[in-house]
Amino acid sequence: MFSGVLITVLLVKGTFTRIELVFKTLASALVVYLVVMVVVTHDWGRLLFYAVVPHVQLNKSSIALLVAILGTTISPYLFFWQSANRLEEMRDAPEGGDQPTTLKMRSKGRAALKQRTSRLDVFSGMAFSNIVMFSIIAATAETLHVHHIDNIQSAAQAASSLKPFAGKLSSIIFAFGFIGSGLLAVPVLAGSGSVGLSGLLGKEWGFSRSIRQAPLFYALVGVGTIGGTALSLLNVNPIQLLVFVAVINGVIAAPLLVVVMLVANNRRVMGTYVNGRSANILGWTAVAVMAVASIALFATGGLSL
Amino acid sequence: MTSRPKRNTISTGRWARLSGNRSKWRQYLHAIGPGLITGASDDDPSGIATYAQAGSKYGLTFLWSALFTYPLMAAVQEISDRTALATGKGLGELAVKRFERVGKWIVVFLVVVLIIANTLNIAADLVAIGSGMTLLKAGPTWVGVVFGRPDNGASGEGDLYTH
Repeated sequence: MFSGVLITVLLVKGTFTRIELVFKTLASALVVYLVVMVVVTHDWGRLLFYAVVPHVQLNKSSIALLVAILGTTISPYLFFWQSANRLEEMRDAPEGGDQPTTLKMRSKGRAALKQRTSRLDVFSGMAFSNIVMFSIIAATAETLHVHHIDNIQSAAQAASSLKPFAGKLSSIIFAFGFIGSGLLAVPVLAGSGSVGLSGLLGKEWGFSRSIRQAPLFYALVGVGTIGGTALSLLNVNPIQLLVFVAVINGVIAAPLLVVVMLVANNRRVMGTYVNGRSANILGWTAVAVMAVASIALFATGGLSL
Repeated sequence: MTSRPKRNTISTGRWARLSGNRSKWRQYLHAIGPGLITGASDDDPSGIATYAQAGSKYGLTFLWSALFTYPLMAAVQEISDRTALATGKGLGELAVKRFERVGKWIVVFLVVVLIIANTLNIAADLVAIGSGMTLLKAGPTWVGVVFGRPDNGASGEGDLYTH
């Protein structure tokens, strides 16, 4: 069967707790990239130096690549998914039946504890994400770059190119890692936009709801997953797809970030939980960075991955 | 949204244990979830291809971007997360509440475009999964796409060890 369809079956049939367990398992597969980095890195001092000192080359292809990195890191689907996944967790929690118990409904101490643990979850989750990104850049730099292999266009190609320099095992676990994250990303990608649109149209949504309770949501998830599966079988050039995705995401990232910021700063919506000063400084900086990135995207004539 | 009557239940089970006598570490393990999953989905095969390209083409020179994007991304995700915690509603519902008619339809347009981008991204990720399976199992790509199921990863891995 199609992996896409299998994932859909899990999402439709599975309970939130079971889905969450599968998701966490797939997420932890990414730890393999840290292993690859540790295996191939010889000079940790040099790694640390490059980690903290920004190096920018002002040529077209390296600017395009920087924009691509920003686009794949600060991607709009993540805003919707973070909020949706938190809500599903709150619905699943014992308090409040199948409805989320908001901070306002909790006692002061409970609300503060919930906010603290959620923050810890978000900050460590994003740290994990960027450590994995760091490991992949470091690992491919120490192996492929050193041996002048600079035409990598897909994750699978990177994995197979690693073999002569980092060994068969590194090559295998590199592939293992992105298979895991790919299986995780498919439902996240299908879910995040569907959550947003269902919410905008005032319809019920979420994997914690049944098909009968949230028909539009499941229809959108189905169309996305099946549409994506069909496209993947059409022999469309995957690199072309990636460039398309990067361009579209690059264009909509800044405006969607503005939407998030305006919502989070509105007292009528958020009550006392509006953005604080540091959230505003970092949030609007992210808006500015993504806006500049999307302008740079067109100034450099699109991406050439 | 259907609105059912809310009940403020007394804390039982999981929640009581969390705020009770568990060690800090177990509290932490209990708390991780949505943040970890969202963070991991940020490193999808499309992202990994981009990072691998940066590393192979430019060496360590893009390493700083991991540190640079972290505070921005963490802040944005914390904000998205807080909107859910504070309101119990998704970003779509909140955008309707926040914006007037025109604003709402602009957001609808943006989200429709997002859905298109996500669908293309799903296709790219599925092709990558297929190629990954091919690496593990050494078969043509379409076999990986068509038969690529989570449990095949393990058996495929075994195949390569015996090569």
